[in-house]
Amino acid sequence: MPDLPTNGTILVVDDNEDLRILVAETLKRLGKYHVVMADNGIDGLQAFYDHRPDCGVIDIKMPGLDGVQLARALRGDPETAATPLVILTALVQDRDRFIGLAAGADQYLVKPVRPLDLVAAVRQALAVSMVERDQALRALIDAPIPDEVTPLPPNPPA
Amino acid sequence: MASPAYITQAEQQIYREYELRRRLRLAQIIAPGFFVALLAIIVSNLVYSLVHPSINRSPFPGIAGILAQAVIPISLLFYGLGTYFAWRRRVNLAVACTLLGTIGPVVIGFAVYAAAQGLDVFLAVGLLSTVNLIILIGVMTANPWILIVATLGGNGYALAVLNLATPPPALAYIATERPLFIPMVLAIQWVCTTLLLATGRTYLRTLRELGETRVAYERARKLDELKDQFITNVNHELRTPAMAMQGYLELLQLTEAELSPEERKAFLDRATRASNGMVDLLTSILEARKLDGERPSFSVAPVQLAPLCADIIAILGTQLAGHQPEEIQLAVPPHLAVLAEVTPLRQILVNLITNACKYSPPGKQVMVTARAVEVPTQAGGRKLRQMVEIAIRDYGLGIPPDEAPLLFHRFVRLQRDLASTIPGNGLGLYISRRLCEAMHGTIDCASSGIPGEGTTFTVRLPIA
Repeated sequence: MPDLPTNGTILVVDDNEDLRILVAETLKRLGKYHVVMADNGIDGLQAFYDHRPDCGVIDIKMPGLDGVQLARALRGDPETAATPLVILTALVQDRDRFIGLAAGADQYLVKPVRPLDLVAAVRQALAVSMVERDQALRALIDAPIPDEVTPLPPNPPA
Repeated sequence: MASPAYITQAEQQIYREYELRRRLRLAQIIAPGFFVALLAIIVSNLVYSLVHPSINRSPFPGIAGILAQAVIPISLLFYGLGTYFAWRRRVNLAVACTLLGTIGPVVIGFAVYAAAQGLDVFLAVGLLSTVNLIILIGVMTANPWILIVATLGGNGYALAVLNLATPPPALAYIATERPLFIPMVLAIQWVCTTLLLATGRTYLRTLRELGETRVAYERARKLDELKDQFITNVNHELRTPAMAMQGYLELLQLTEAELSPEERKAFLDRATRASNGMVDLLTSILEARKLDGERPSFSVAPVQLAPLCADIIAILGTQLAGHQPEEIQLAVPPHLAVLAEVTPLRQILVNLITNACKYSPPGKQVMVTARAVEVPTQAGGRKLRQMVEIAIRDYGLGIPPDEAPLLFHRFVRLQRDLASTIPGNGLGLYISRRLCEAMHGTIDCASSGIPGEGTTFTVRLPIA
């Protein structure tokens, strides 16, 4: 619905067709977002450059690039490093959650997620404004690296 | 109920390693033990000759003297080598060295002594005790026959010594009492052997039982691991359709007013498809659980294969993982029939055909062939019986041959597939195997493991 005013463009990357359409329909109808889709990690990465979405909703287990690799690739390029990312996966273990968040995802959602919760999560991810992200990133890159290690103060006498 | 074909190589490996470790432990005790004992003898001799410098250390002239002197260090060298090999985990070399180190002094000592000055009972009996060491080493090989052969050798040696040796004057009466003496020596050797055999046997049995416990433990651990993997996998396979089903239904409720009838139908169709997937998974799990117990009994009747296969492919239609129905080549002779029950047979074939499609790229053929064959009633047996062989062949990635037999166990999927996005729960082939067996058939698979050459699954059922 490109002719209607939308709240932004969301890219949905998931290899399962039923789920991809569900997420797309949910975001379109309940969140009034414009949605583009890709069914694997490599097409998904291309789509991030082609469509410049405001937010990505990505699965982890996918052919080609998996979701974690995709997130790392996006975070590694300054052009896409600031795009909010929501991981939507069936991987439930803490380890997977940690890996997903460490790769740079803003939200880690475990399936099944109800439609309204999904919209809320996307909204939350988007709420971290682009400017803030950009500044945070820049601050991190530009932070001065200390020249030498500051020695600890001597132990107080016992 | 595990038939030999399904006993995995891993289990046989455990037995072999266990046996090896056991012999190694023995070698690691015996070889250095002999080494230290001989060293102690050498040291005590040296001390003795220092205390009594007048002692004549080599009673023999020439080469015999050198040989007699060399026997002990050579023997020590062999024991040293045996210890080294035992330490390097080379069991057979360790045993051989220990054996050589023991046989060497006996044979050389006997030869030198007899050649130089005939036999006297005193030294011959000394050598006799080393013969008993050979019997002891027989235990290390864990082979009762070697023990028995060693004892017979010891008997022969004892007989030779006692009959040929000239007793010193003080023991001259031995010559007359020989008939009393010989049976006693032989009896003692056999008593030793019997004791060794008996302890060896019980020892072996204990170890065997330990080994079996280990195998059982290993099997249970493996199954536990597979169950964990299965739960993780099912978790994944269940969460996606659960979200699809719940999601479409809730979305339908939330947006009903603005949806066109077509959109509403599309949402409901997708929710239905997801719920069907979940029910299928649930059915498989429950069925596998049921088949774990006793073998189901089916009422078998002749089933025509050709129409059944054609029917299955027609019904599967769009569920062929991207394959077109035309890619499935049917070569089933008309009128070929098997003795089976239709529902489980259909289930087996559906499972194998969908697997072949799932695990090979779209566009590649899948071949379904059937023919009558004669197979032995037992593995290696002579009696033949008529069976129908149904082969389902794909041209996918293939299966590593050592992983193939594992696939028919419940929960097992290839590591490669677990990491992939191909859905599956590791139950299909297990269910198929149990159903085949319940209908007096077999199932197995053959693959070179080379990508592109694919895999052939073969089902054999009694001919009708």
